[in-house]
Amino acid sequence: MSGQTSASSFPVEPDSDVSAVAEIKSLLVRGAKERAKEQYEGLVARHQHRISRIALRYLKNEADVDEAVQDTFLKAFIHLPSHEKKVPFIAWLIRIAINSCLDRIKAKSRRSRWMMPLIDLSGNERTDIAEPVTRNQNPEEELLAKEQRTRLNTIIRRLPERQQAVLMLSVFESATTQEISAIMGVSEATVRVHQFRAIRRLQKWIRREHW
Amino acid sequence: MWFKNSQHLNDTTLTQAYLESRNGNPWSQSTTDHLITCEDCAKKYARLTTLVHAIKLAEEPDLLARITSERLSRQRQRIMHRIGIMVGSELPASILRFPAFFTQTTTSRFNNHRWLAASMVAAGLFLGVIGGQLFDLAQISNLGSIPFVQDTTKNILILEPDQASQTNNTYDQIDIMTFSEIEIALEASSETELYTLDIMTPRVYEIAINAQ
Repeated sequence: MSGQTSASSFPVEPDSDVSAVAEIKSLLVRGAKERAKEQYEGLVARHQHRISRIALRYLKNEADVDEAVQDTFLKAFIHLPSHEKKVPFIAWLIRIAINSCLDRIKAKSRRSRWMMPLIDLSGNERTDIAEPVTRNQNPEEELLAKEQRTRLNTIIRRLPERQQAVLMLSVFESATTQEISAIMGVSEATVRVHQFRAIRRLQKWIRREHW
Repeated sequence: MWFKNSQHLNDTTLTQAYLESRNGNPWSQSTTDHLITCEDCAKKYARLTTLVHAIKLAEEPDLLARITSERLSRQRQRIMHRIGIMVGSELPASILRFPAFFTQTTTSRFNNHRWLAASMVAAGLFLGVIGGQLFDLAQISNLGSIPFVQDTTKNILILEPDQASQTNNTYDQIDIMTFSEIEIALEASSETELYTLDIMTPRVYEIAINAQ
């Protein structure tokens, strides 16, 4: 994801965010780090859920999600003085979160090239996807739904990074094109192109696999 | 704007129309009119919306339930702790802490000149090698100054007795001379030359007597 700053048309940022970010920045500039930290906790509490949700969609594994979220807020705190006013804080934060998740995925895939898959005692290959705890469906429906979900997830993961990010933000996070363009630092036209290509590709793959 | 041909809306147009509607933007009048009148395009559009819904289904149903308030508060604590470490208000978690007098043993002065020890060792080795070479050279040159006399009966060179006592490495030179004598004897056809060697060789019975 590029670091370009665009999208002045992002929906109005909450005033609380704007004022908090400005105050933290000034505190950091003055060297009052402890007070800046206290102020920052409020921002963390406000956006933590959304960032965790995005990280969970990327990473699945809860330990990885926790670490990615921690890294995101830590990086944001470190680089807050360089944050530009025209990019809303949440868009900037989501951008950092997505990059952290992608870095983690890449690092994991690099490691997995050199490591044997972990086999549990029942002989099945262990995956990172945790099993949902409760279900209202009967076992057969549950199994079918699970299979379909797995297949769809596999297909979505085959998409290029940017298309995946756009699809995730638009479909799962219900973000508008304006928001996505602010998050990804690209123009709205580019976001539309990515959305379009992602959907077209998925359509094609699904047709090929006779769904 | 949406038409590539006047017959049907193509996939590109339909996808764009879907995205526009998702973003809350109105369709153009022509697209709306066409979708109302053309059954095929309406079906294609319905398939597209179904696909996007299917993508939504790819999400695990309990995904969001996994983000509990407890988990978030734990996570927040960790974030603030890490920021605290960075800011300097909190100490990093340490498993082991050494007593102060141990930690002071590593002086920065030594660490700053770590290369010094290595270079001193290297210099020592260099000097050792050079010294050894010079010592060998000195021995060779000394050898040239040793006075020899010609033994006319045996046609060999022997060390002059008086001079031999004056040399520093007399025993070495005697060894050299003895071995040269043996070498000459071995090269000669006469066996009498080997008597010296034979006398020096211990016999079995001699050893037996000594043992008794």
